[in-house]
Amino acid sequence: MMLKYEGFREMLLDKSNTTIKLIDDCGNRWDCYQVYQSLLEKLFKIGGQWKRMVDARRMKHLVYMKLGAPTAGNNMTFYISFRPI
Amino acid sequence: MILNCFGSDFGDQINDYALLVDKNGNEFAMRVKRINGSIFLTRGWAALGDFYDIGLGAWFTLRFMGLSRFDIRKIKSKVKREISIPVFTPPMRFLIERVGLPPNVPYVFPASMVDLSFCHDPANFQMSYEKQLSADDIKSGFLVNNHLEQYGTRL
Repeated sequence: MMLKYEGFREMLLDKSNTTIKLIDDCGNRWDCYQVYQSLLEKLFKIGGQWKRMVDARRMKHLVYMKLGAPTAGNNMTFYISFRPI
Repeated sequence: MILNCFGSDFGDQINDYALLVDKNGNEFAMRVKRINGSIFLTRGWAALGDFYDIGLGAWFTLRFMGLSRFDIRKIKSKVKREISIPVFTPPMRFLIERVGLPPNVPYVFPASMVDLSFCHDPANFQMSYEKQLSADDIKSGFLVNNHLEQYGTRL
């Protein structure tokens, strides 16, 4: 997962964090890693079990994903829900 | 729900969490709740339904293997058609988040069964951000930035 640094990510993701947890709408936990990239443009790249979750949930493209966090600041746990097209 | 008769015989061998394993090695962690002497598999159950793509009326054959572990023997749909079990290498593991769960004390039956299953707390979406997944996000394993993301940001 690659996210631009500005906006949401700037407020909620910490550059020094390397691991985050994603909690999906079934209550399952997926351990992901994140890499902060600042070479060409500022990006957060999130990998790890993201691909496993996509496969397990049989997600198709054009699905809307909502990423949420309870507060601004340094979050290590994010909640995601999906909405069909 | 696991029946009272089973619970009275083997309930002491089931902890707060159970593990269901199918024949292809996929694992599902489940939260166990005890209500009025019965055992309920609550959080994590929804993942199982979603994974096998089954709905109301499906049949599961579980075998208790001891130490909170169950093996999934057969899954049949409502019309008794056997459901094929997806193969993943390595096998899929569905873990549940244990932090922040209330203690597992016996409590009275909830007014609605929905209360037993997991649902997101709206407070966890106070800061939220929505994005439409592209084909690249699905295939490459990375969620790639696109223009929609710019407009999807809500703060």
